[in-house]
Amino acid sequence: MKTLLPLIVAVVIAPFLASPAIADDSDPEKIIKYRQDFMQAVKNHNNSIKAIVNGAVPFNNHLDMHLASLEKLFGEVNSLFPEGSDFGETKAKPAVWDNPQKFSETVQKSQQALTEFKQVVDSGDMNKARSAFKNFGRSSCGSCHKSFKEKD
Amino acid sequence: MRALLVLAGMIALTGPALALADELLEKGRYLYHLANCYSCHTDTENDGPALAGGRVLETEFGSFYSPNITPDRETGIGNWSDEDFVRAVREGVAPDGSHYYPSFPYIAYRNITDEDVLAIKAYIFSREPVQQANQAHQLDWYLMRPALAIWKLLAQQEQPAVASSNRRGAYLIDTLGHCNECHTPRNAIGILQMDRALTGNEDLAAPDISAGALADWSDEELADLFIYGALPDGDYVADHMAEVVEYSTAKWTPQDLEAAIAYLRTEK
Repeated sequence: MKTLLPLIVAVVIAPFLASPAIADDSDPEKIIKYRQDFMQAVKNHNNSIKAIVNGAVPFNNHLDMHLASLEKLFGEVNSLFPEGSDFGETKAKPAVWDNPQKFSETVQKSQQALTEFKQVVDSGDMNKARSAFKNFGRSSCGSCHKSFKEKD
Repeated sequence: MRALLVLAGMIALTGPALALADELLEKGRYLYHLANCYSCHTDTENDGPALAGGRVLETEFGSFYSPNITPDRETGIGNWSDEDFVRAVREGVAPDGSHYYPSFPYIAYRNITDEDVLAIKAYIFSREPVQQANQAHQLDWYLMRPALAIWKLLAQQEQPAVASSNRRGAYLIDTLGHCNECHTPRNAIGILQMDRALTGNEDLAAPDISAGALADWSDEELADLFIYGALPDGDYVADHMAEVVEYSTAKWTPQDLEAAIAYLRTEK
């Protein structure tokens, strides 16, 4: 009996302990807010890269850091749109949930565009990086916003 | 020998004719991009075939479904004469005499020249015909087609013909680009308030792009917007404007880009 007690506790009690936490995690408004903050982070890295490749700031040694961060952030974009987070104060279009395959393909293309941009940056030619940055923005942020984000 | 001569004659005749035809199609293709026909007449969201219509436009008056404008003779516009096409684009009148709803921007298009409308027709008619029946609009009951005749009269009076020293810029922005359709406020019956041209339409989330509002933007920032869809704050345009950029403004020649920017910067 003694050995069974922890098991009973685990099976009977644990769900009650865990359920408030799950409900809290899946609060759509909180997910939407988190998603917007996340995208803000993407935008900020993007802006930092822009300032560097345009030669506006002398932080060329930061480029790798921003690119690595974007790579990680892009890798999580798909998981930011769980079922149920499609209403409320969101600018995400219903197409995100109605057409998940197209959405994940678009995210993949963004990752591809990032990889290609990174190769240009790695080549060390800042003039090329400057124009490649614009194409990168268009084919990542831009192409996803076209199909999956509503106007502000 | 005779056959050879005939063949040589045919080549001599068709050569320049073909070159002319190519030139017309090339001109038509560019104008077609400037007027952004593709965006509304293609159900891009569902990867529908080009120009076959079926794209929904949600408005406060109901849902409009764009028609098939491929050269298919049965479901598209393959049977249209030049006159039919010109009248449809510039006057908003179908070959059967019925009026189009102004979701089709014929109010803006009415200043397209004869030559340019026909070049667009030539290009569209060179595209793949697609058999796809049109879908009926789903509109509020009071929006009957006969009432459109009166609406059009009023709307045309409200919007004066383009008058600007920068004729090319005005042609790109007001006529072909039909920017006023979204960026100019409308009155209660949906007529554009041209005395407040391009000052934005909140209902459509279309921002103020009047000369005053763009004063903070550098020419390079405007160029980045029109070519790449990039906004000065690091964000990127979304939804309809992203389509406008991809299918239309990104294709402007450098001269047209310059003319369009210069026109946006002048007080209307």
